[in-house]
Amino acid sequence: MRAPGLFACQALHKFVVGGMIADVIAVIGSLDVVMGDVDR
Amino acid sequence: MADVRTETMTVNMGPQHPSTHGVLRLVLELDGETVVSVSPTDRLPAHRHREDRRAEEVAAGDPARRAHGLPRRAVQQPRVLPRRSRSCSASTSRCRSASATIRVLIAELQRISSHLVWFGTHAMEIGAITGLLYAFREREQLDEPQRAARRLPLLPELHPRRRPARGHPARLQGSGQARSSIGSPASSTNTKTLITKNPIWLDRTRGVGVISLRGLLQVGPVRPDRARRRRRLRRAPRLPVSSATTPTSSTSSAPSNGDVYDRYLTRVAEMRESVKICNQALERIDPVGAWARQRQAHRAAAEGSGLHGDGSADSALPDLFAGLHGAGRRGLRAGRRAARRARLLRRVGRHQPAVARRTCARRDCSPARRCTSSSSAA
Repeated sequence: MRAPGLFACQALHKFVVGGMIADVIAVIGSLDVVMGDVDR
Repeated sequence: MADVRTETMTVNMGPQHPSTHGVLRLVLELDGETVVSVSPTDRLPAHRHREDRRAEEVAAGDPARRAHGLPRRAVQQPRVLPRRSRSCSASTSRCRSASATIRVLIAELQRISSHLVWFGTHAMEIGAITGLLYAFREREQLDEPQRAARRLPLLPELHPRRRPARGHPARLQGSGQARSSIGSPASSTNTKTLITKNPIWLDRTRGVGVISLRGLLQVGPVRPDRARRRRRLRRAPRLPVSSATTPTSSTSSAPSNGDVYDRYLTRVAEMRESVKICNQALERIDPVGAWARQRQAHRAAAEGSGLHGDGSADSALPDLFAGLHGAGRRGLRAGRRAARRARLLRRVGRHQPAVARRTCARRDCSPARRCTSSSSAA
């Protein structure tokens, strides 16, 4: 089963690169990555 | 002007940072305050330890230890749904639809619960501490209908065995202003004044973390082919949101910027839809209970057809009755066990065709194998 957390993690660079470090926190919150999903 | 040599800096973000929740580590390459590259990793001792422990618990097969890691009811639904096809006869269709309604209700309630945790923590990470308090207050209100539904069966076959009154549908429907408590979280004015229209929130989330639709399709889980396949596979939701409950005058336009604020709006809208589905499910749930109604119907049918009231008539009806309503020794499981035993007995009694035994002088010749050697006796 592929849960959305894995894709959110994979796509993180698309959201973050070029932005400010403070915005990384907002991006992580908006993606709502669940690490249990990534491990499956 | 002297030539100043600059170089990027690599830092760890998480797992100590609160926004990474102790399980996510980002290795960030920074040029000043600008992110040059990011590499997420979950290879953390704490996280791996937790997953290993869970896997070990399941593998150990010890029910006491496994109970520690029992998933939520919504997570149990994939295990429950395949069994639905095996369930009972056509006469239980009402029970089946009642179970489906309860399943949808529980799933949606837990979706709202889960989203409320996201809402509170997301707000807190950006700086709105009070959002978390409101989110958890609403979440506790949602616990009450979930607690009322705890003993209700997800399947027609699964029955409340002990203290059935606790899981009575009427209790679920009327439980502690279930409808108002479900209706409150996403439509609360607190959400709007605290977060959605908050200028600091808007400043921190608008235009941040923007991704285009093309970029999303490149990296995201939703590719057109996969989306099509998923639509074909998925039958849910069984309770579509009716047009009567859908607000016609929508004040907010559909989010289209692809930034953090849009993702926030989308998820809040998802919670609102979830609330509507919950309310529809609550309206559909029969306060008497489908099982009780079925029992009444069977009793009336038994009396009308002149069968004995104590169910001693030699008809399939009392069996069905006992199977549907009996708890423990008279329950459906007991009935099944008896039926299985009867089947086994039949099999034992049946004449077994004798295996054609062949006797052969060769030592390596087995009776089951067709022996072609010349020394075999017919």
